[in-house]
Amino acid sequence: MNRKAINISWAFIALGMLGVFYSNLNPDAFSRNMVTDYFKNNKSILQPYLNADAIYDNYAKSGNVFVGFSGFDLSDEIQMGMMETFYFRGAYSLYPRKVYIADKDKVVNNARDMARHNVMPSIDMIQNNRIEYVLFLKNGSDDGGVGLNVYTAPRFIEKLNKVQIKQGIER
Amino acid sequence: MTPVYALTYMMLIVFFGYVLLAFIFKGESLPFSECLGLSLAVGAGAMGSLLFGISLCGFSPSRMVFLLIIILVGCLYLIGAKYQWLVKIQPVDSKGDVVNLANVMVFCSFSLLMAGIAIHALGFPLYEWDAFSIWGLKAKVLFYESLAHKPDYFYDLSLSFSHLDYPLGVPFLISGFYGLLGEVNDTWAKIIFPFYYLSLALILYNGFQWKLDKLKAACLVLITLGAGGFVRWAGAGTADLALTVFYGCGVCYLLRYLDDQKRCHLILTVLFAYFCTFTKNEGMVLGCFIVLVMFLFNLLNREKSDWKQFIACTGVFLGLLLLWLYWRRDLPRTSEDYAQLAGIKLLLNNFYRLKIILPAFIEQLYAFKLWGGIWVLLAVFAILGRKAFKHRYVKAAWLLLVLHAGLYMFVFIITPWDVRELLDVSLDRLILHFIPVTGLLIGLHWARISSDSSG
Repeated sequence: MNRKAINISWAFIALGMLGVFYSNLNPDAFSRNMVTDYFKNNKSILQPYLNADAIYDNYAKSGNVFVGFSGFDLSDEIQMGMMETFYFRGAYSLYPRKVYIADKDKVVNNARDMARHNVMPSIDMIQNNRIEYVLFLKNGSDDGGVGLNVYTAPRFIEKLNKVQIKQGIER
Repeated sequence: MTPVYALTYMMLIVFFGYVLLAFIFKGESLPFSECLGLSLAVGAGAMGSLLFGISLCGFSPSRMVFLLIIILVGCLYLIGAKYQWLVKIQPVDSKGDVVNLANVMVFCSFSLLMAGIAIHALGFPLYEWDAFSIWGLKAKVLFYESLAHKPDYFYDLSLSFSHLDYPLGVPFLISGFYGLLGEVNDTWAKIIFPFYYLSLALILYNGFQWKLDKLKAACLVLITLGAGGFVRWAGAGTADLALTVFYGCGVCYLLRYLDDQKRCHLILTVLFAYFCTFTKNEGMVLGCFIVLVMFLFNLLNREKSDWKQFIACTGVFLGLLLLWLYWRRDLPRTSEDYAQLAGIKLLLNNFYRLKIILPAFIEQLYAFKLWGGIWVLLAVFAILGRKAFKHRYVKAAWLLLVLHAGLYMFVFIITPWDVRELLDVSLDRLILHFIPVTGLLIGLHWARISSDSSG
């Protein structure tokens, strides 16, 4: 019986070894695909983050940033993922510079919270938080993709003032 | 120069760990592989805690801070050397070592796995969702600001997605590298992860040799740590690998302590339990499980137990844990607060979720593409080596496995998140935490099968 148990245990150890190879080398295996990607210099796994980083690098070169979102469908996981990627990644890659989408006392855990608390920044908010750039991501722009509007803080304040004056005249 | 700084940082961690081992083993000798594995794991855990302490005093990680750390470690080394406490390396016992095909295959396979993990860690920046948004962001905060006055980050609810109250062990270890380098580099910062993996492999290898011969121990290390699911998370940059290492090492030394009641094994058990609590929120419970199980089995074996040692070590554990809990007492808990949520009413209300949770857990048991056949092996070896159940260390390991599974199921039952969504994004990562204990159990049952034969 004992001899048999030992033989069975070795047989299962051999199967366990095969399991290790299978779990790393099957066509869906993360390890296999990751190593292949690395040697082929394929950065598709990083692409969403690289895109977000590139937008911040190109359009928000200094100071703190405010990001506004519009037109995103909260029933669509991909669109929610885009919002989260853009904000979460920005909050990480720009730190110690800050990315604002809402007041600091609004809890933001996910895209739904982002949509709920994302408001047009006031002049006070821009000045108090030393925001230098205001970015607006608009889903469903003319070409059907995601459009980006970029304002420097002074330009955005100027725009806000114009809107306020216009609203005052209309009243 | 960045790779030089990265390697210097790792060498400093190893040296720090080695010096601390002197105060645990007090001149005992260890095999080289266990000494290296322990130096890495103890050094990494202790470095995170030391940087936390220094940051509380108002100094964020920097070269100046590392100069002070080097002086401190140097002094500890001299004390260790003076009292002849430094760990001695056991001469290699090559008796019975055979360079055969099986040995070579296991060694080559493990080297390939290490290479894969190193490529994942050092070939890509932090890109995993949790890696950058939780751990990477905290590491940056801790690099730029000390904790003397809690940085604004910890109260900014619009950053709640980064779990403001999570433990800071791994972020401090990463920020330590930034401090030594003088800038943020989130690719090379991940150098700690292959070393974490190596430390667990070396400690498990020696842990298995407690009951098995070298070839069996090496095969089991490969099966335990080589599964695709393990390799996938090992280089990702999340805190899960660190927790798996500390929890696995803690349990490994707990089992050895229950067998031999050696003081050094008790200290290591409690030390690793503390490192768990400073790594992840679930680590806080897992660390307490280790100490509780140790208490329970000491109680059952009163005549052999050294209560003075146990109480002293547990006191230090609780003191360190309370320090962390005190520091984070006023941090907002806005993403989830399981301690607050845990209540019988919510548990009963959400009990129907077991219908979703159990199948998801069971699915992981036969996810061969992720975990190879480790769960099948556990079942088969537990049956073949069932006589091992009479040993208290085997009972303790099974108890921990059951408590662990119960904890995670409980969390999924009460979680405020969508349970299906949470299972999808986190279950395979959480299963990782079970793997070392599963491997240890396979080893203990296997040892029983072999000893039945030889006896």
